[in-house]
Amino acid sequence: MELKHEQFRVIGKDLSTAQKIVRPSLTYWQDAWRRLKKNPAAITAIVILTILSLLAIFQPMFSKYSYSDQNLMLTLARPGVEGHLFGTDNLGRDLFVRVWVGARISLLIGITGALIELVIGIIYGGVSGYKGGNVDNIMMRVVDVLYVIPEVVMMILLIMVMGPGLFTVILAISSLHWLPMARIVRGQILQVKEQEFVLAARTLGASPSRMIGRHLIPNVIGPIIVRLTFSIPGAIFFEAFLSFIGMGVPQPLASWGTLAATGQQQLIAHPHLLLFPSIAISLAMLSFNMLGDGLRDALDPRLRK
Amino acid sequence: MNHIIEVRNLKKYFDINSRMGMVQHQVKAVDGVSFSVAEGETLGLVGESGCGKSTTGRLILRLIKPTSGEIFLEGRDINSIKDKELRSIRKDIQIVFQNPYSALDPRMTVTDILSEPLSIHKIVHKYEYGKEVKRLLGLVGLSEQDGKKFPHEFSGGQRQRIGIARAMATRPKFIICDEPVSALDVSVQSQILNLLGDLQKEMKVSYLFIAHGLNVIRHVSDKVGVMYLGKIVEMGIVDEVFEKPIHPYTKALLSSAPVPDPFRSMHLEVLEGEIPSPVNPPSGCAFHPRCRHMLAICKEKRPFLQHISLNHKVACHLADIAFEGGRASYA
Repeated sequence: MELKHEQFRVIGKDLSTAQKIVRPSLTYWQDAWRRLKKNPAAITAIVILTILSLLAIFQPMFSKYSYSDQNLMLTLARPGVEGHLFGTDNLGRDLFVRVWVGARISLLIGITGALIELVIGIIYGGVSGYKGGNVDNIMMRVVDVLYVIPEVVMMILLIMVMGPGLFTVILAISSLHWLPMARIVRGQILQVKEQEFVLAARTLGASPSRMIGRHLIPNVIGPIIVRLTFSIPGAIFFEAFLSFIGMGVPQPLASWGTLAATGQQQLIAHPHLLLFPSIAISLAMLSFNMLGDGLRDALDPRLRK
Repeated sequence: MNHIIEVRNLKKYFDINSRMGMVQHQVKAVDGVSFSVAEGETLGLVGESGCGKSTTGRLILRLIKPTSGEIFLEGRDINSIKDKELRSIRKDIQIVFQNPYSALDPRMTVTDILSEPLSIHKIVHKYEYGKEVKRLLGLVGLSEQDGKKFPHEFSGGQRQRIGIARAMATRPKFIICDEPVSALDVSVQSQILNLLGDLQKEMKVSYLFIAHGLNVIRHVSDKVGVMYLGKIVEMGIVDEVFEKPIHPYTKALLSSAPVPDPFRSMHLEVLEGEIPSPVNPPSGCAFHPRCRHMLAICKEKRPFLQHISLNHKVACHLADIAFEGGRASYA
């Protein structure tokens, strides 16, 4: 086949679109979310956590049983008997509703504990890293000294002094858990502080609050969030542990820890009493850890493409 | 002449603490540096790594506090003023950093980066940030659309342009260029240097240009100061220093720079030995262990910066002897 000149036509180029930017700029968070979406484990974790929290919030509202309603005619029922999906415990209380009330308490303790840890850790570590020098030295030695205190001893002591209760448990957990957070924040701030863009902000005459708020914190937030997603399951687990040894929230309130503790007593005859709370704890812990892993990968700027 | 910046006998000693918190040693990073820069002028500062060039720049910016000495900005001593006052005069002195990859906040768009100086010093009204950012971007040869991007979307040279735009945003009188091109490709270096030159003509700013590339210094500077171990050993009009270097260290530095001319014979004056530790600098003239013309006096007495002509100063005993007669007229 012969090609003739007439068969061709110059279409030229469209100058109006030559400067057009095809790929939009992504902010840090958009980019992180884009990468997190590609991680199936993290997405599964988010789905599981959403389901767990929705059940925790709504199931006790709509259940025909309350977490403290006893039915002594129907104690230690098997799962499924008379509408008790997870069965009943030794006082005939519906285990299904108790697991979700327990989820409320456990998640509340986990999240508040982690938030308190975050606030104290950011302020303490931030001041220490930003001020540097002798201030940093003294503040970090204080952390070193507090690190020496065994966690369990400290918590048992606090609970014995203040009496058991939700607030005491949260306080006991966050009283020492802020230490590693403070160290992480300090380390991050120290690293970012010496970067030239922080010096540039100083030569521009930025006030300390602008430096910390606009330049330092946004640049260290990634590792902090990752640490946070790991400290939530830590707090949940510690609460379970405290409840298990009898230091947790008082009856008839339930947390996953207290449920597991009572279930453990009936393990041979009625294994479902331990099984369901344990599955809930494991699911929550696993999900938070997978989410933390995913976030660590998503927020790491070195993995940015 | 109208001095924008004048530095007198600037010193910065860093303490090295021993384990017990006692001062064990002092590093004399900058040891008695004096110079002045006039309006629209560029002073180049050269020297080996660790000779105190960058520290000098940071002292003038008051990013670190000098041990002693005076810094005058248009005749006003900025070394002794309080932090709050300092913040307001920071707009007159700006810096362009060496590494364009770490000099821009990775979490901010270019528009945010360029608006920050405007909002800190209230250069223009809030409603005019957009217009001003566009003007700044145009000034450094970037397009308006670049304002929406993040630093990681730019090349090194483009980032350096953004850094320059940020420094220009406060309309400073004096900019410290801390090796602004040494992290860039050679082809991009000249673009940035020309941009800095054009901006200087347009805005009448003065530069302190810190570099270790002699070709770069010669291209951009009016005056040049050669630093060795925290001291200026030779200073003068750039052509005079480059054509007729007096100090043996300057000679060695100049002969080490390759000249792109195949017919010019290579006469290398190779320096022997390493740069001595600033913790324990040699006695007398700090350069004497590496100097091939060393005299007895060099070990004992520190030479001071002396005029050998109207625009040329050298700190060397040899020059003292050679120019003894002619000096009186400039003293």
